[in-house]
Amino acid sequence: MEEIYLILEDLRPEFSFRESDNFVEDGYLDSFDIVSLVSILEEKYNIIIDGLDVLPENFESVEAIIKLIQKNGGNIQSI
Amino acid sequence: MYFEFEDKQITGVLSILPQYESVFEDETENPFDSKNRRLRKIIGFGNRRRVKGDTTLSDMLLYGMNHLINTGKLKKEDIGAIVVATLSQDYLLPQVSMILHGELELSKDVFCIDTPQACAGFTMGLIEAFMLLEHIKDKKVILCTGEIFNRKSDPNEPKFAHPSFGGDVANITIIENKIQKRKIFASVYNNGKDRNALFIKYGGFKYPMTEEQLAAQTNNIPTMGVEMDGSTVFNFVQKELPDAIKELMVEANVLAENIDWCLFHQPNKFMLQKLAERIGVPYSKVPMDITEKLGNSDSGTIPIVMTTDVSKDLLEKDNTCCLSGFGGGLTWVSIIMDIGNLDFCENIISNL
Repeated sequence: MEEIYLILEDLRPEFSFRESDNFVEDGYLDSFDIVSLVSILEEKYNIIIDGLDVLPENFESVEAIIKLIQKNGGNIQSI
Repeated sequence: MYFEFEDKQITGVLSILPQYESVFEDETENPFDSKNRRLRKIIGFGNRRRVKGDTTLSDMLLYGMNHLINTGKLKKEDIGAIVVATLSQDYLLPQVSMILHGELELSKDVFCIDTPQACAGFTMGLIEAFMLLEHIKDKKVILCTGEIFNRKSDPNEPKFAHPSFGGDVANITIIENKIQKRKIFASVYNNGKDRNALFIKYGGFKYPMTEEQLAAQTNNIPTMGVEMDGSTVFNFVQKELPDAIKELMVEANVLAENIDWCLFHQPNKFMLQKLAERIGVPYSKVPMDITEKLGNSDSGTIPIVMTTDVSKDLLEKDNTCCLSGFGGGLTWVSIIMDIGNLDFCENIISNL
């Protein structure tokens, strides 16, 4: 989880992701950020994220992002 | 809806570019901050062409038509129909096709029609052209596309807070009856339930322009505000397009590896990369740099891909091409056809 928080904080350093229940609803991630995040995650975890998975709900929390990485074949711990 | 056509061919494509080029670094606030640099790389923001403040689409098209006529690439008497697919009408009435008809002093029996299509305009216009050619056997259909949503009237306009990617262009495509080895396969799909996912709210009878918008229009300031539900549009493209294109490949008995070029509408590089992955074609067969080079010009993007990225191949040999236009409507129109040995396939830069 920590590495995902670090990625998010690097992407939008002005927000406190650890205090948010929903990054999208809280306005921490807009559609441009999601596109950037897809690119960053693909590079870091050597995966290709299916275009059908580029949905706001898959980026609303660290748990959702980890599930997305795992679904697309990435090696990341859930804890 | 599914179509098959026989012995129709694109024989020439011309794109008319505005003279003015907006450079990303000059028009964007903080172009070098990490977010904008990242977006530039991933989405493909870059430079774009914009017409002058008083230029209309018919000005651009007339510039191109006169170029074709003056260089001997088109004879007025060979024109059987003018199809204009755009949202950038000069007026509600007369239509752009009628302006061209009058200014070029064409014969009374030339068929003229405008169709208000956005990003699927080129492929929808091609289908209209193929249908018309069933009835005008010995003449040519002139398909006119493009948009001018990004008119620049103020040389000192303020910088944009967010990167902009709209571009202006006009295109003229010549389609005619000609013996072909392969049939043309096409499909048209619509989803009106999600029609507001791409929405130009003001300017029609439901919501006339506000006083502020009218004043801006009077002063030649662009007022074409496109509202977009980005997530709905992105997922529509990823869900519907691959199915439609794979279905068409089956009908055409063409495998993905036998497609030479996927000539798709150019919303942005990221969306096209994801689309290519879902269809199963390599990025190298899907030109996706038009937003970065010239900007997204809606109905003008597929022909400008042809004249900018693949013109050498389209001039020199036959190519099995998969075309797909998709967007406002929501509408997605795909075509598999051979395109090649064109008489011309080029960009010209206008003074407009």
